[in-house]
Amino acid sequence: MSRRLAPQPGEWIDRNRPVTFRFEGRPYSGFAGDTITSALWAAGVRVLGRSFKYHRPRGLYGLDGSDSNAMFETRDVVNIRGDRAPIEEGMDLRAVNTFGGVERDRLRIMNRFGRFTPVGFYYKAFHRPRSLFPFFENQIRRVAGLGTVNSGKALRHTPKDYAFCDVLVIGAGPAGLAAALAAADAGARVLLVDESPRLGGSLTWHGNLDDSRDRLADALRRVEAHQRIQTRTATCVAGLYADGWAALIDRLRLTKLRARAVIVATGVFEQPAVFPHNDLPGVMFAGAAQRLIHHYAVLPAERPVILTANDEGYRAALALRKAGAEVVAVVDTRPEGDSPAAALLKREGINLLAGRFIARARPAGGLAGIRGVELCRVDERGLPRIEQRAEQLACDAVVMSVGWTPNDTLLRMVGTRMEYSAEREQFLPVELPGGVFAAGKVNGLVGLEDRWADGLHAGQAAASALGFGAAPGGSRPAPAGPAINHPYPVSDPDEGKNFVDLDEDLQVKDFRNAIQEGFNSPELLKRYSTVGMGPSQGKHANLMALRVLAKERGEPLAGKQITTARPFSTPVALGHLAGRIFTPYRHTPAHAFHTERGARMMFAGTWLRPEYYEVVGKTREACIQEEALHVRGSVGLIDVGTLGKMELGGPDAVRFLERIYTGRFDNLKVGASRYGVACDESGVVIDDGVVARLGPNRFYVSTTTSGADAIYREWQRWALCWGLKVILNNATAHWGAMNLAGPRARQVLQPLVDISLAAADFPYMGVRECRLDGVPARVLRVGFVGELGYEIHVPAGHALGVWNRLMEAGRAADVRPFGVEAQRLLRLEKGHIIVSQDTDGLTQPFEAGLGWAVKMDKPFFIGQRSLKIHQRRPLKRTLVGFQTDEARPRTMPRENHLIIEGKEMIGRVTSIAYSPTLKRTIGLAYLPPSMTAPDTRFTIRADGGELVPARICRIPFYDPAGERQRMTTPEEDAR
Amino acid sequence: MIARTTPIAHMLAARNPNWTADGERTVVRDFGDPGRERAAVADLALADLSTRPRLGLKGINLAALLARQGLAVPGKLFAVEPFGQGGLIARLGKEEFLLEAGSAESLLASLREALAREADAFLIEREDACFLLAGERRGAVFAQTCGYNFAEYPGGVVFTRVAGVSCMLLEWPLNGRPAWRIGCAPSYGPYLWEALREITVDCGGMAVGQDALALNVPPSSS
Repeated sequence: MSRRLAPQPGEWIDRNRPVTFRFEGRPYSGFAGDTITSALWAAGVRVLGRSFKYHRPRGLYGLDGSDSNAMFETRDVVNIRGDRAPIEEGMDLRAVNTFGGVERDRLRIMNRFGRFTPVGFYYKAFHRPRSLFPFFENQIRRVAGLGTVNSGKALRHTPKDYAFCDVLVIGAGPAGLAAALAAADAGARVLLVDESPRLGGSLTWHGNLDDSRDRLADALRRVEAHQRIQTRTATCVAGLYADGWAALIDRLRLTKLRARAVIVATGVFEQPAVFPHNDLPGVMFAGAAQRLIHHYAVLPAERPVILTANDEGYRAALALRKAGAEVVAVVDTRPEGDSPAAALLKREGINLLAGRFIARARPAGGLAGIRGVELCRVDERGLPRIEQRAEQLACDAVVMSVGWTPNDTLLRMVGTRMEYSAEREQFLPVELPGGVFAAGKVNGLVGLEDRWADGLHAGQAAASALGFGAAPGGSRPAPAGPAINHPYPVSDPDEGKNFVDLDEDLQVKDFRNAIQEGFNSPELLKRYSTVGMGPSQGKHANLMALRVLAKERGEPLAGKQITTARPFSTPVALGHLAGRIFTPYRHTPAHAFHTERGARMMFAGTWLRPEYYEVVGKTREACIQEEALHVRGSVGLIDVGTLGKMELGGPDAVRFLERIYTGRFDNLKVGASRYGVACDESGVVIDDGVVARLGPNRFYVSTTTSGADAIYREWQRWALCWGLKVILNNATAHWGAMNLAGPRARQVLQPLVDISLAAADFPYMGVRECRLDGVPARVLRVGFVGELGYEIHVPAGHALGVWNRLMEAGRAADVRPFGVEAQRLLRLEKGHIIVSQDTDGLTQPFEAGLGWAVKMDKPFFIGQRSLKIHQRRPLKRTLVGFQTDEARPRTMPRENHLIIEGKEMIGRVTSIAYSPTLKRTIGLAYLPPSMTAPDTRFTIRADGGELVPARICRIPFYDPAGERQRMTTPEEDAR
Repeated sequence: MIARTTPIAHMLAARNPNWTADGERTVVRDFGDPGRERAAVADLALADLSTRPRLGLKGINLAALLARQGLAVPGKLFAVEPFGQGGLIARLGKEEFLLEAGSAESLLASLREALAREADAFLIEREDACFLLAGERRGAVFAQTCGYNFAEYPGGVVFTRVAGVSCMLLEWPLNGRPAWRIGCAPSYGPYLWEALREITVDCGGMAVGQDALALNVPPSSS
């Protein structure tokens, strides 16, 4: 049966745009602008979901974005909040957390086992035997919970963006609108945000009794026309931080907003009355009923009873009557009075039953709704006396208005001190952090004029704090009139479930039990009972839980605090937080060649490098070994563009290098280069590279790939600390680099450059600036892989062209590209270390066999003092070369495998590989100095615990005399 | 002579553009839809400016040195002055400058030659990746990639992060229309181009070639 009403003034639905969708397999229709909940309620659907633990039927409750029992899922999206999410054409919805559908949920039987499953039962029931806990945990998780994530859904990028404003106004009710206008009028750029799809807050549904609608229309016109006000609707501020950083969540994205001042005008949340069966479909807040009527033109119920402790209930009754409902009675906890609202009610002929409360509701069949209520009398404070039974009323709904609590989560998040006012029966802000302002109902104000004036005041105050306009004159309005909040709207008879927290299915007795067990503070109570941990984050439950706690302990509420508020105030999809994933990567200039040539790329830090070049039909290991053999036998080209490249100049360049590196560079000749080791102050090796002298005060220095940026930062710092006149430049990405290595390297390169490559003209460790096919180049003769080698550096924009030119020129010499793994193998054969692979965060140069590169007789270098101390002490470990007994062990040890003696760990492998050149497995390892003599035997514990025998060897394993990297031509040899 | 290429040449090539020569450089003329690309420049467009010749300078008393070369030297840190036709000279530090040639490549080349003789000038190869984000809706792309508050832009060069990469931003109106240059280390160029292009396309814009930038696009009716 349709409950859709005739068009309502200002309704949010567009009747010209019907929308069809499915729920639990059945087709439904609504209008554009409907939420899922409003469309289903309009279609007569009462059971929208099942509760978390007992699987009780649940319906519409608050229609304020916090209905945690009206949550839905589609194939791809889970936990859709039905009271906020608009219906979309073709949506196929299911209720979350049911077994067999929302109507015939097989787990509804859980409702009968309530007495066996009190709060915290699983802590006691399933912790022994411990081994079975995972089983029970799984079962509990299956039974209790929310939606099921479809991990197979298509990846969807959710954008995440940044925004800025002077003043952020959160909440676009009357106070928020006034604040935004006042701040913008003063000159501030204002962002006005509201969770609802329309601006106006309560003005959008209070329009039938006062001039709210006219005031709203006027305010909206002014806001829309204001150049300095931007608005965002359907946007929730889920997190707020003291420095003005706010997390704005809309349907698509997370916006990271930076505001200079923030006005919180978030209003209030209605609070429930607690009585048996207060959770069933048909029990709802007065605000929900009015929003349903005014926003969506849906009749909330046919025959409702209104339970109220303030005049808002009267307003709801009149709205329901006007919409066509037969209002059975207004049950008022207050004594009968003669207020204008009461008089109006009587004029309408609505039955007013004062001084009463609902003792219990009578459930309809299958708990699918309400069929009546039983009333009781109240005492002089309005507290129910359930033993004093009163009328029984037949009805199909209970509409509640027993009080509100400020929507103060964001205020609390930024450190606002909130205190409970016994006079107002609510929390009120008493101390706000700088740059944060509160306005409207959140300040305890009720009347429209007060809220508007408070908004103006806050807007002017926020703007003037930023230097816009004058500070507001006069004082803010203060809460006045009788309290609108009932102090303890609870009927707690022995039978029937009366819920405090509908998210977590928590009843009054659950709190009582928890308190009796010693969980008697708000924080402990929360953790034991899980109150406030559900999707609504306790917006309807935290205050009531605190009231129960205070009552059970016989203490006043004043002085008590609810639990700490932390971001986020409302559930945020993980996809929103992840957003579009920015994972920067770096390409060398020759990247296109590598991918076209079939390179298997690997990450080296953020760089992508060729691990090896795949050859169809060959294994990874075979490819790597063939690349290495080809370098040894002919010539290979490797992209070393990722190396750090620093340029140094200035009159103090030499002094700077002398301090940075352990070696000596004041005697390095122009045109020569030298290996350099850098340590930190504790003497630990942090980097190495080649220092090339291009001119008297001009150096070109390579660093490790991963260390470049950190080294450059350190160098800048040291240059400032030392006050040296040195010019530093990190040229890493601006120069491409490649190493042409192998006995035929000279043959390939010579025709392309305008210098002589003869050994006499360009010896080992020399550096030359030249032209390579017209391109300015820096060429270093290095021997990292142990062959004749030229490291060619050219400006990055020319590097791919140079690379291709070398490949082309080397065709006759059969030049082939080789990757990082082949290079690692080749350098291992030479016994060259890789810093951070063959060293760790504690390695000093003497342990790593780099003592030859440390000149302790220099006046100063970083780490020198520490190394002097190290020098006086015996070494604890030494990096040595080894080979395994078997040329190819059945279980190949790997890097970082341990070296074991008896049951003791005495060392570890840092590098290991099978050398196709040497036809044996070789490696580097740290061992105690006592075990470093050649042929000393030891065992490596490989995968699976297998012990692999090995023995110490001298390094370099290959070409110990270094003849191949110094290679001269036959003619030169002859000379 | 081996031609100089943009660091994102392989990313551009993957989209089958039409190439054209611009002096010694090869640049994208268009991506196959010149009409749409011209229109996009007014709305939202991304273009590659990486191949423009550049020169970095560090040293001692550089401002005086450059002034002696007849250049308008930016006085303030991060300020920018024109260099030749369509070029720029930006002050990146007290003693650090970046020069970029517009159409006058030879001017930069001769300056490089002259400065190479100066003992106090340290010439630096600048191979930056440089992109132009143009159009009225450029803010939509920045909003998703950059935490800088453009409302407080003081003019000149701004160092910030775009899509997680350290970048140098500079407002650079194109034919009187708003546009921003985004520069970064060339090694990050392919990543940043793809990130910006993807978001630009998501926002309804497109990548455009040099032809679209050269045209004087009439104002949008919107």
